[in-house]
Amino acid sequence: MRPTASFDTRCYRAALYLYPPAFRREFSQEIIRVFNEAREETQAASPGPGVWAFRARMTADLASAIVLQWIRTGWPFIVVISILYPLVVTSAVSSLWRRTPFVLSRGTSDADVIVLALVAAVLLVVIAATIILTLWFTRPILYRRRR
Amino acid sequence: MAPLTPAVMHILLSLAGGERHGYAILKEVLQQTNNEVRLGPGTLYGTLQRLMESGWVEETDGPGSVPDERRRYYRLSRSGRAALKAEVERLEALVRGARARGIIPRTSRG
Repeated sequence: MRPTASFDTRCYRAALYLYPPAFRREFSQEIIRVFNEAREETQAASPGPGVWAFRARMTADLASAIVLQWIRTGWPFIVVISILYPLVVTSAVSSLWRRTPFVLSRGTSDADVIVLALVAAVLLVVIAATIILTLWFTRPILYRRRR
Repeated sequence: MAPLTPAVMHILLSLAGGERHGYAILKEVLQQTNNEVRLGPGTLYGTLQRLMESGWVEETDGPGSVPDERRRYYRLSRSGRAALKAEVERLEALVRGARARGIIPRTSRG
């Protein structure tokens, strides 16, 4: 019968999903193995406070390693740029537009308001599409093997 | 060459003694630093990945004639050994400088 993984191991294994996919595919089994060996040794040497110190150490190590691995993929920068770029362009366009007076007079027809709403909607779609397409086309960066 | 980070230095030093698997590297680092440096698995494999990319560390089949499929073994490459040697020489020069300025005794033992 296959031995049941400990609570620590299950938590740690779940946390490994926070790594970039390429790194996780390549090293997660080894990382789990080393984690289990270190946990068993710690438990045998000092079962009480030693285990808590081990958990704290592993959590800190995991958090810093996850951040570093994501930075190495370059993905966070792409996300920031893909969000900032359309927002900056839109705000620049809107600041130019603001120079011309824009007033909805009482005589404005419903058709004009509908056109205005449509323009705003198209603008939002363009922003969303830019973000989504940039992220979509840079997906290979996330999944590529580094070797 | 930029100075090596402590994790890189410890891992290269542990592999200088021969090929090892991940947990053996951690144990060796612990031993060579008198239980002061405890690398975690995340740091270990992140560093090993970078070292393999730079060609300083290579993956091997393991010490036995039959490859151990359950574990991955790593060894120092020729360029890795050269990098380690350069770093040790740099540190040696630093220690000589510190000794010349009286920061540590001229003949330190232990």
